[in-house]
Amino acid sequence: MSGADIYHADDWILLRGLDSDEIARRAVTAKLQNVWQEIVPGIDSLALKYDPYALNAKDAGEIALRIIDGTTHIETIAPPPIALPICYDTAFGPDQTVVARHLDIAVSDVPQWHMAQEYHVAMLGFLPGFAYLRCAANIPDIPRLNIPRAQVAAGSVGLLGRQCGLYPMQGPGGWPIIGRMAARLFDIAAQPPAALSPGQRVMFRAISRIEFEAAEFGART
Amino acid sequence: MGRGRNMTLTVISAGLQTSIQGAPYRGMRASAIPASGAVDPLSLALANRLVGKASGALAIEMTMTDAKFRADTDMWIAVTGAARQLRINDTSVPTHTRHKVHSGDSIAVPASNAGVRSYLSLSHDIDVPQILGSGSTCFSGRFGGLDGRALKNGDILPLKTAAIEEVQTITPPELRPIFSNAFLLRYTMGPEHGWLTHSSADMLHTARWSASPRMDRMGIALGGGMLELAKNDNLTSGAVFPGTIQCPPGGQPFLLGVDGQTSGGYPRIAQIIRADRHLIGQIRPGDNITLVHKDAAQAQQIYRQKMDFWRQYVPDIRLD
Repeated sequence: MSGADIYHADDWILLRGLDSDEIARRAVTAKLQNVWQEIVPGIDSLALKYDPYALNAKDAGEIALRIIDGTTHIETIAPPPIALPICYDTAFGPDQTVVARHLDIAVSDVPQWHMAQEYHVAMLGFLPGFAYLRCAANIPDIPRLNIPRAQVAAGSVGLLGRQCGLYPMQGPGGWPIIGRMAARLFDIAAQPPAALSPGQRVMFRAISRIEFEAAEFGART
Repeated sequence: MGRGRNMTLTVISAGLQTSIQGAPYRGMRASAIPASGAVDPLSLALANRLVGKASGALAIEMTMTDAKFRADTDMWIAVTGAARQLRINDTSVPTHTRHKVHSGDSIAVPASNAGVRSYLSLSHDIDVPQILGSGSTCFSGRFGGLDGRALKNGDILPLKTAAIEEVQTITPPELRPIFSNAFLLRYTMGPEHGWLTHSSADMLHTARWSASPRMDRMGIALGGGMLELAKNDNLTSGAVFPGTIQCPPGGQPFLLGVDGQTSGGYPRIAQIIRADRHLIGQIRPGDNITLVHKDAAQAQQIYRQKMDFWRQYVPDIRLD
């Protein structure tokens, strides 16, 4: 990419207008440069934080430009694709009706439709381990709920059209919810604590309510 | 009442929000883990210095109101930050001073009328799990500190003896930060600063801003003026940091603190410079805030001078 769009604060830089492949590739390059204190992918940007005691703004900008110009050639080592078990029981996916209406499909087709989409992790944000997925297909926007829920259960899967949000833990939320995963997306004792990372491909695999409850029980014991 | 030689500290009265905080979580923002840690890392470092600890060691952060503890073992303590004095049993003693407490002694840290957070450092280590290079309480992730939560009355904090380094008995008086009800914060333009109308861009550094009551460790909603965006495109989510000022469509700017989320979708109109971010957590509701513009190179120079100054007294200090 030429005509690099770079923003400078006094200790962070923002590379803007990137597609998801560019972000993943540049995040890997940035890691290898060993000068950044934080490397934070956004939906179409990459932020790089540094220590202004060790690096002045001009040098930081030049190092960041090397990422943009791609003078460092790296094969992106994409994290392995992951299949997440999800239960589409309507008790876990109370907003399937709303979602089906926006997609113009039958409610009973929501699980098949969702599993057929190709998703990748665009970024993490909002809550520790909360993953924003983007799907390849062009899907109409689905609005947030008029009244956000005070509590959305851990493992809930929300859908805003092309974006699919995965709740690692219980929290407030306004995303229409279509199902619940039997997967732990954030575990502070694990290395790394977040199970998903930007660039990773994600698939969904339907499980029954009984399988879901068995998995939950297994996780607790 | 058990007055044995338990290696513990008991929380008698936790006050508004008291939690275990030390160094922030670093290098974890891509996993959406907020910085967390002490909102005022300078005051934390000064307290830790008095008990011979590393500048980012875990201590107890208190918010606005009275808090009271009981030492269940003999140790040294120090209090810094907003509080101007403390009481050991019924005796008033100065902050920024190392004090010996004995098993059974009470330690009370009163509310102050300027500044928000005070820090109580102990010569013993607070024995909670070290997580990702810290152990600070992360409220949104419910980990760190004591079970990832604020302390409650009756909590008993496990302690263990620590290797004590060189100790200063007092903070030199000229080095003690004094908080008033007016704050000057310097900023660089944010990535979407250009989205503001010309008059709103001017207002950023000419208005008398004040801190609204809507504030916590996540950030502060600013009062004193409504900003206008000339451009109202949908912004895709991207990185924000402590000190980022966002402008939601309503026009009331919001200044992010150490517990702020790692990403946001509102225009980032300004970024408080690294040298000044340690002040954010000492701003009280109603305090005046003046914003002063600096370019990135000036801001870096200010930061280097500040670090050179403080490293003479606290060699391992880090301000993020």
